[in-house]
Amino acid sequence: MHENNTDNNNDVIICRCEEISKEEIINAIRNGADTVTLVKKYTRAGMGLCKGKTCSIVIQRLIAEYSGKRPDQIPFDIEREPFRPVKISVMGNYEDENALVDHEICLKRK
Amino acid sequence: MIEKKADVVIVGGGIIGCSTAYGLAKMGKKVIVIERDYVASQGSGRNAGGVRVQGRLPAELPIVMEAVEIWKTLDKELGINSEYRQTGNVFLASSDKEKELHEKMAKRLQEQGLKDVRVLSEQEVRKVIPALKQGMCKGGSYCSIDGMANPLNTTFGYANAAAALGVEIIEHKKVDSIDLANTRVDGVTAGDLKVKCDTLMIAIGSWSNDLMEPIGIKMPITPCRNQIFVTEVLPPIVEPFLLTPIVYCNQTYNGNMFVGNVDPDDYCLGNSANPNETKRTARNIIRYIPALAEANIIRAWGGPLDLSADDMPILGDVPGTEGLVMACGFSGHGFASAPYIGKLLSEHISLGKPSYSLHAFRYKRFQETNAKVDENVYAYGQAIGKNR
Repeated sequence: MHENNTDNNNDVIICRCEEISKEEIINAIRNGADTVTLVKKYTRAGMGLCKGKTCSIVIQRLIAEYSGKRPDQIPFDIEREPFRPVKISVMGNYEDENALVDHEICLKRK
Repeated sequence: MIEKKADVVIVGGGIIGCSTAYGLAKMGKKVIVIERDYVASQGSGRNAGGVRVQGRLPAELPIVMEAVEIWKTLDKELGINSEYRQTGNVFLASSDKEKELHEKMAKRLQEQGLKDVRVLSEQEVRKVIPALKQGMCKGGSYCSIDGMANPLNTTFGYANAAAALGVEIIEHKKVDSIDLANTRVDGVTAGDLKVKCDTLMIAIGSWSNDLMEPIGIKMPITPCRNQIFVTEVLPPIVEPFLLTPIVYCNQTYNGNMFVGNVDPDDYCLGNSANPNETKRTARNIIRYIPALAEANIIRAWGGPLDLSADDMPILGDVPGTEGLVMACGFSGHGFASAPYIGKLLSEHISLGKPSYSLHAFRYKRFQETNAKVDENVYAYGQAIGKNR
């Protein structure tokens, strides 16, 4: 196990949205999470409102330290749309008629 | 070339593969699971986590009812937090005709032994879901033992429990072919890995025919891409799993809301969300639950269901190929019943006699009869994939 030389406090929160500590992330990595995506799925780190903007880079570095790779060899998580959080009312208020399948149309089809 | 040997090889590290591996390991079998990507990378990690009993087809009902009994003690058994809880499940009826279908369905389910299902008036539905907008339904069907769980936690839980019992789970390894010795399964080849086995189980959902067609067998399944979006953590808004005729939503243990359309009709493979479909889902859900209008969507994703020709899974032996066991065509019903299906498949493989007959799910039914979706047993005349 590579020790993180700059910060030995494992209680520090890495994912602020979901309040996931460094210790929880290191445990996930020890249990086999070898990508940013898997750390997310094991711990919820990066599942919050900011979509991993601040924690992804730290998680990438922690995986790299543990596996002895360079950080750029650890892929980031898949970017899922929308690229920033959007309110449901905003997402649903669209003008593209081709995308429109209204409640009424839908019920008529049944 | 690396060579290995096992009693059973399972292709596919989803919840069906992992729960079957766990069952087999408990019976002392040496099992190797081979997964193309990572455990729960497809349907088992992408679904909304509904554990629903109502609305099931007659042959499936006893299986999912027994699965509920296993769900109740699963956390203890696997040493996990599956977040399973019985929140109830509501099917809304948008017309009097649909309400009649609900009444018919509820009667059939009650006759089959499901006492926990009843038909509600609109007023009663709004008592269960106060956030539901007035005038959006003519009532609905409610089942109190239905619920939901966290698909990732559950599937990882099965994989870890299986591994602790000695199951070898090989990830990031794509099986290229099924190896036959005359009409008998000999094993599989996956790149530089060759595994010999007595029994081979294929549990790779929509991708089944990639392995089956080269040995001359075609599973009657159609992939249908579904998608979900998830909101930020919200205070409790909708307690039960809510299914309307056009959209569904359920709130996770953490408070995030899953929202998806019920009629995608998108017959392809694919893991990303169609932006138009996300817009349509957003518009649809706030018609029913206006309180969600201000909730932020964090992300949307997709994944294919493996719809079988009659919406029932294909389980068990494949005639003509000894040692080959199929588990596919779950048609979106897999997650809820997986704890019991895994047990049944492991009994089928190791004892030759599962505790509940898999006869109704045999592959041969498609040759014997013109098995197709029975619209009479559904409340909505089969919402998903009706035009396949």
